[in-house]
Amino acid sequence: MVDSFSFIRRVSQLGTWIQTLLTGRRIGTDSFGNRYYRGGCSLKGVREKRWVLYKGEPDASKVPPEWHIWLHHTADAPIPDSQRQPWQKPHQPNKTGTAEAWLPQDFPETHTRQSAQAWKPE
Amino acid sequence: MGISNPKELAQADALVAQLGQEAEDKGFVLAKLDDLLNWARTGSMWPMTFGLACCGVEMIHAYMSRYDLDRLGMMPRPSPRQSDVMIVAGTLTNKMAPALRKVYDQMAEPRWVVSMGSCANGGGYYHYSYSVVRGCDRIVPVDVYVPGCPPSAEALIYGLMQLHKKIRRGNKVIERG
Repeated sequence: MVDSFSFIRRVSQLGTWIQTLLTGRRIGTDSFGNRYYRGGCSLKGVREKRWVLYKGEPDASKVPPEWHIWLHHTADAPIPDSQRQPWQKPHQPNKTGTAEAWLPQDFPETHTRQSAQAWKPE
Repeated sequence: MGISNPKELAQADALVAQLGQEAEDKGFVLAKLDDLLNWARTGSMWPMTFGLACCGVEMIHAYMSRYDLDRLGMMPRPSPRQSDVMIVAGTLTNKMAPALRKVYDQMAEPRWVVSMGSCANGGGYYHYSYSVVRGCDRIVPVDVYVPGCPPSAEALIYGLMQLHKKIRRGNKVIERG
């Protein structure tokens, strides 16, 4: 997977970094290296803010379910690794557009990625 | 006939090294230019609104204050001349198809198409109707298909982010000139 998180895009996220430095409290890091923060208003009745700084290119599908539930205010804490079930597969981000993109098992040999291309409007 | 003089050999080596350095430098500069262009393009994609049916309502949700596509620099344009991406939201009928194609042809390069919802993807609920195009990819080339009936505003925004990723992957500067 090509990580196209260029320097320009890093700079364009400067505001998020400054806010994280000033107000963010680090909660933890998931197995992919994404860092999770909380912060914001501490008034009663006002929900705290929870956010994530991605490792590499920002992509919402990089967040594993253990942290997703915390990030979306469904649980107060991320699910610890001890509660992992044996039937759970390791989390994968969205592979669309990469060489590992999903194809059906019975996809015909003749319909390779080379043969399925966008047509040019002429 | 080869180069036997050690001095000439050293000069040839230096020349090869210099060429390699130059290629590396130029490659570097091109890559950075691509980064800049892709950043600019993904940062201000003006969509041509093509709301045809109920998907258009979800598209409007995405534009409005809760999801606010303007954060991503997306402002709906009423004119194809000013827009970069066309969001085909809803059922494309046979009657509408020539208009869709005309609007697409009037858009300036580089242009992208997002097909939103089951009907635009492949006819959807009206697949067997006598008056509906079975997918807008029969009329225009589609970059991103957003599934759903209708897709939520979040789904549309995710599709647009996938389009951003696609733009960053591609190299339209060299491809299309």
